[in-house]
This record gives sequence, C-alpha cells and structure tokens, in this order.
Amino acid sequence: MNIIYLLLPLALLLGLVFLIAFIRSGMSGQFDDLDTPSHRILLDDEPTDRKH
Amino acid sequence: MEANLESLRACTHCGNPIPRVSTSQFCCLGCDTVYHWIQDHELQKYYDLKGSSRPIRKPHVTSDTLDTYRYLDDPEFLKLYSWQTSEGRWMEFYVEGVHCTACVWLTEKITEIIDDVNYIRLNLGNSIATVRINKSGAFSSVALALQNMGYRPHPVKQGESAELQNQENRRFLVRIGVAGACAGNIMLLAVSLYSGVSGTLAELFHWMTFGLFLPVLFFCAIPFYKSTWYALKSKQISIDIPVVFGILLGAFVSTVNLFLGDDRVYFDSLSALVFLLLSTRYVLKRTQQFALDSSHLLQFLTPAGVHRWNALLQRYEEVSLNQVSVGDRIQVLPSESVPVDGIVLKGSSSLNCALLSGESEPQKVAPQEMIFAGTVNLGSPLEVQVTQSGSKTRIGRILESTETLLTKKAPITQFADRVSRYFVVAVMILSGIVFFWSIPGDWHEGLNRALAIVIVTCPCTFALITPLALSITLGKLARAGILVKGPDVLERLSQVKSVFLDKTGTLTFGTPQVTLWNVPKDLSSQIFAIESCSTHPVAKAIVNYLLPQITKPIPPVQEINETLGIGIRGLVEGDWIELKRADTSTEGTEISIYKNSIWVGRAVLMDQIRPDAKKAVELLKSLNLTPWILSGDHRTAVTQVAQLVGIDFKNCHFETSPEEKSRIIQDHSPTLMVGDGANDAMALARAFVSISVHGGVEISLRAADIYIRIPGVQPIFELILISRETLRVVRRNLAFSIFYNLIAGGFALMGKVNPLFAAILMPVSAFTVFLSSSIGTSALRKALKRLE
Repeated sequence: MNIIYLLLPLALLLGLVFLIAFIRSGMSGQFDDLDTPSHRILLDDEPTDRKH
Repeated sequence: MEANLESLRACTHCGNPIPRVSTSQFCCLGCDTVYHWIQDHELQKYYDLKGSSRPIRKPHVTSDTLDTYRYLDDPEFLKLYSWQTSEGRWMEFYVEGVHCTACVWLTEKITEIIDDVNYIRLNLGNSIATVRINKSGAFSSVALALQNMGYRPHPVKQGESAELQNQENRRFLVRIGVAGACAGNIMLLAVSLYSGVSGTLAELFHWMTFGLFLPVLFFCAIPFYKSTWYALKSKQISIDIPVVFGILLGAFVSTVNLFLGDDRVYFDSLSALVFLLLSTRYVLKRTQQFALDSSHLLQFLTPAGVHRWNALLQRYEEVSLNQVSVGDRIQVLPSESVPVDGIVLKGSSSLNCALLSGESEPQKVAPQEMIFAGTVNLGSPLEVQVTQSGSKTRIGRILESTETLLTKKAPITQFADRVSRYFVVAVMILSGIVFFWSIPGDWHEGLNRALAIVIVTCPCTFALITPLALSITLGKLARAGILVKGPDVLERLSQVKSVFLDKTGTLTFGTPQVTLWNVPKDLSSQIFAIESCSTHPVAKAIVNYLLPQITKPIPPVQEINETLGIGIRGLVEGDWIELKRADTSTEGTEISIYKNSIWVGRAVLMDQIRPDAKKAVELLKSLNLTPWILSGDHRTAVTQVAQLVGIDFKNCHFETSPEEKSRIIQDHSPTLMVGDGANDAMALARAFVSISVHGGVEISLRAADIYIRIPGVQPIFELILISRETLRVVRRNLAFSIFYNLIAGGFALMGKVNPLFAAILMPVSAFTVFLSSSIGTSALRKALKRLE
C-alpha cells in the first residue's frame, strides 16, 4: 500500500492543474455568457473567401 | 378581431403572417430589404439555421446610410463609448431583434464582410454585440452592416461599474470552484477516515484535509469576512456573523485537535458549508442581475445622432448628442424623438408626449413653442433652437432625481434574518457558557463541546433559509416574464397597504382603439388606404381595426391631405374621402366620415381599459389593499376609467405632473406604484415598491423594482400573492431550522456530536430546507402556474 504515498500527491497535482485551468478561464470571462455558446456550437466554420 | 391565420401566407424572411392586402412574399418593407441584402452577400445559410424560429420584432425600415452613423467615428464619442486594448478598439452595441442561433451566425459574419473587424461576439441573453476593430476600421460601417441585417444597433456606454461588477462576478465564481474542489477532496479523504483508516495513513489524511482547507479559509470565505466586518462596523448583527464565527472557531479548534492528535477535526463540514453558502448566494445574485441587465437601456431614451445646422457648410451634419450646445440649430425629422429641450423655429407638427405626460393624444406644436426631449415628432420636420441638452433637459433632470432616489432606498431587514439573529446570539452565548463552565476541569472537552454546538446549529440552515426560497421564486418569476430586481422586494411587497395605478398604458392599453364603427362596408378599403398614410394614433387604430376586413389589394391614394389634430382627407378611386374629428366628444374621440362631402358614417375611438383591469382591482381589494389612480390625464378621462374599473372617486389623482406624482407617493407610504411611462419614473423610484408594466419605457424599467413583461393588470395581483406565499415558505424553513438546531444542539451539549455526526447532519438539514423551498406551498404553485 505504499504506492498510495505517490498516488495521493499525484492526484492532488492533477486536481490542481484543472483548478488552475478553471481559474484562468473564469477570470478571463469565459463564463460570463452561459447561453450563447450553446448556440455557437451548432454553427460550422466556413472557408473565408467572401464577396464584399 | 383576429384574422384568419390559416389562410395567411408566411413572410419569406421572418415567417410572420403577411397581411392579406399584400401581394409580396414579405410581411413588410423591412423584411424585404434585409432579405435582398442577405442574398447580395451570399448569406442564405441564415435561413437554414433559422428554421421556424420567428422574431418578436420586425426589422426597422429606415433610410439610414453611412452618414447616419458617422457620429460613431467622432473622437469625442469614441472617448466615451469605446475602449482601447493592445488588440484594438472595442465598442458594445445593443442590437434589437436578435432571437436565435441564426442571428448569432449572421451577426458574427461581420468579421468576414468588413475586413477591419477582427472580433465580434453576440450575447443572446442581453442582446449585446461586442465588436473589436483595428486601426483603420470604423464603427459606422459596423453599425450600418448590423442595420442592414435587420438588427438596429445602439452603442452602449461602457460604464466603469459594469466592468467592476464583471470582475467581481468572475472572482466569486472562482471562489466557488476552489471551495468545491477542496471540499470534494477533503470529503474523499474524510470518507476513508470514517471508514476506519488508522495509523500513519490516518494521520497523513488528517494533515491533508488541513492543507486542503487552507485555501477555503483564506480565499473562498473572504466575502463572508467582508460582510461581517461591515456589519460589525455599523454595529449590526448580520446572518454572516455566526457563519464566520463558526468557520473561525471550527478552524481553530480543529487545528488544535490536529496537533494534539485528537481526531475531532471538522474541516470537511466547514469546507462543505462554505461551498454551499457561496453557491446559493451566487445563484441569487445572478437571478437578480439578469433582471437588472434587461433594464440598462437607459441610454436609448434619446438618439445619439443629431442633425445640427452647420453654418459654414450651409447644411445639416450628423453629430453626437454630447456635441450639441445651447443655441445650436437642429432638425428633428418625422418619427425621430426630440433630442433636446428647445424652441421651435420653423415648422408645425404634432408630437407624441407620452413620455412626459402619459397622454396618448398627440400635441400640436407651432413656431415659438417649447418642446421637450424624449417626445416623438409625428408629422413634419421641425427646426429647433436648443435651450437645454443632456442632463439639464426636463427628462434629464427627472432621470437624475430618479437615480438619487434609487440609491437612497435602504434594503429592509428580512423577517427570517431578524429571528435568526436572536437565535444565533442565544446559541453563541450558550456555547460560551459551556466553554467557560468547563474551564476549571477538562477545558479541552469543554472547548470541543462548545465548538460542536456552534457547528451543528447556526451557520448552515439559517444562512440558507432566505436565499433558497427567494432564488427559486425569483427564477420562476423571471421565466414567467416578471423580473424582480432585489431580494428584499418580495418582502416589501407583502407589506404594502395602498396600490397606486397609472392610468394610461397600465389600466388602459395606452393607444386608442375603435369602439364604434358605423360606416358602410364598401368604404373600408378606401379608408384603409388613406389612414395608412398617417402616423397619428387614431389612424393606426383605424388601420388595425379594418385590417381583418380587407380581402383585396388596397387601392392607391391619388392625393392626401392631413390637417394635424383635425382630420385627414384623400382622393382614392375618384372619391374624396374625409375623416374628421367631431366636436362633440363625451367619451373618447368621435370621427365623422364623409364621401365627396356627404356624411356617410361615424366612428368612436377610445383608449380601452384592459379586459382584466376590473377583476384585478377587485382581487386587489380582496387582499385588503386600497387601489388608487394616479394620472397626468384630464379629470373626465380619469374619473371615467375609475368608475369602470371600480376605484373610489376619492382615490383618484388627475392632471398630475411627474414631480407631483412623486410627492403624492411619498405621502402615502408604504405604497406600491404601478406605472409605465417616464412621467412615472420619479414616483416609481420613490415608492416603497414599484412595478413597471408591459410596454414600459426604458426609464421606468430602470426606476422600478419589478418589471412585468406580460400584458395585463392581473399579474400584479398574482405577484402580491406570490410574495406573501414565498414569505410563508421562508417562515416554514425557519421552523425547520429551529427544530434541527434544538435537537442537534441537545446532542452537542451531551457530547454526542463528532465530525461524522456533523458531516451527516449538515447535508440532511440543508437538503430539507432545499426541498421545502422547491415544493413551496400549494397556493404558490397555483399562482405561478396561472402566470405561465
């Protein structure tokens, strides 16, 4: 069971990585608008050769 | 009067029914224009994405060109409305009419249509498009493109407070995230500990829970520390004080126990507590902010672009409102709102003064007369000399006094909070006694028991009682179309004694409707043709009335002649048809119709009372509330409505100015004021509770505590009922809390409480309160159901 002394810090580290990702995206405003992204997902990207 | 919808064709652009009289494939010129613009730019995919979704508002028909939006490029304007970052220049636009995925797709295509636009994001929730342009870009071209797509853009002023609030919201969300992450991990470790881990591993786990608790203690709980600090400074007891006390004492004793090797550590319960409380507070805050966001349309009260006479160039130029000064000569075109207070130099027209007087009847204006900002020019172009602009106009001053009144409104302490306070103080004293009693002997045990008392009783349930019940009710109300702006509004609502109702627009529809039509049917299409040429409310009412009767295309009007305030005559199919206002008007407006100078019929138009007004007034009386009418309209009009609706004559105030309304409200506190116009704004801000109703003007949305999006007077009654029922739920939650606390406190006194006990009790009690809030009461559920 000594492996747990390695696994625990590893698990916490993993959690920390995701927490930092959450903090960074939260502070940069990704979660300000929670409705529109659900619409945007449905839209495709298109080639950008438009007429003006 | 409903048209037979099945036989009507659907507009190719927006999907709304096309009036039978039309032979085109579009319902209006707006849709026609936008459709062709979309074709020209090869953006037909819009229609695939749109599906069957239909807009609520149709695209505006305007003759807007690039010139109309030129003021957006003005450096002075940019200083106020845009901001610069390293990536470019930003501006936000409120866009009218966006409603679905296709709109998101279409508006975000602007980056491809205009090279200089690097970024555009539409927020469907509040209809705000955020645009970024590079150095060579111009916001005027962006605005024009949006207009061409059928979404009328309005630049939004970037308030500093908005940005700060954003940052604070984000930080709050981050605190919740961190609390959740830490609490979750602590609980995982706690489960193993409760399951019987022992030895060095148990010690390690205990220390790890301590480590994971530190972020919660020093970062996540900060909002509670702040509010407690402010409460203590103003010598008040707030509900956060026991929470903070519990957290700090719990942290302290648990840490002491940790060092002593005692296993009574409560980090799991404490971190879960912080997480739970933060979450409920966040949900409540967002529910309110949603309501507030929808009413920040204040800046659209007057147009940002003004036609000012440039003596040098000898023509009118487009400038922004900020650049107009007293003495300037400006032009106000038909269907534009007057941007300043001023004196008419040239031109005669009629104005819609509903904003200031609440009257739907247009007022005539002639040279040398004074006109006010916010009124709408209905007839012909006016040349005006500016006497006041901006915040010094009459409407501007009303706005300002409304703002000051709003900030002075103190939030009342809620009933549940008051009871909680006393209970909490009692518990804290009890735990203090337990501790000091034990000092001569086993003080460590005493400390633990005192801590146990504090942890299992106060913080959790009491702090959840009100937020849970409120956010659930407020959320449901918001979905039904009633936006409530503050948590204490519902409680205030249950305390009102008198209800002041505005007449025009609230009790009545606000626009005249045809009530009597004694005209030969064969004249319908000719009259329709003539009245379609006028923007007068009477003309619009006649057009609406005749629309269902028109089955063939309308004949063209060969000549038209409108005399403001008197009538209209036109040549159609060889006949001179004239509609003239008759002098006798006992009720409403009487119109006489002449064909080739021979009298052929009469019609009566009235601003009709809403069908549910009478019943609603009865219901209000049944709740022991006294209804009043507060109106700027004439005595006869007001007393008539009062009689029809069932309000006592002595409870009527007529011909009141906005300033007088505000004073009357003050004299009758605590009052509920219901209104919709800018002329009600001051009264709305001053009332104990205020509601702005469907069709309301932006400023009243801002000034009122509640905005009801659904038409009718009935919702007001439902709302009062709902607020009373919600308070009942809060009281029930309070009863549960006290019950739990007495039992748990008893166990704590006996020393039977340990971390496992606390860890189980807390979620159970929280869940009970949550369940009680969700279920509500049967009356509450029924009332909410009726609103849908």
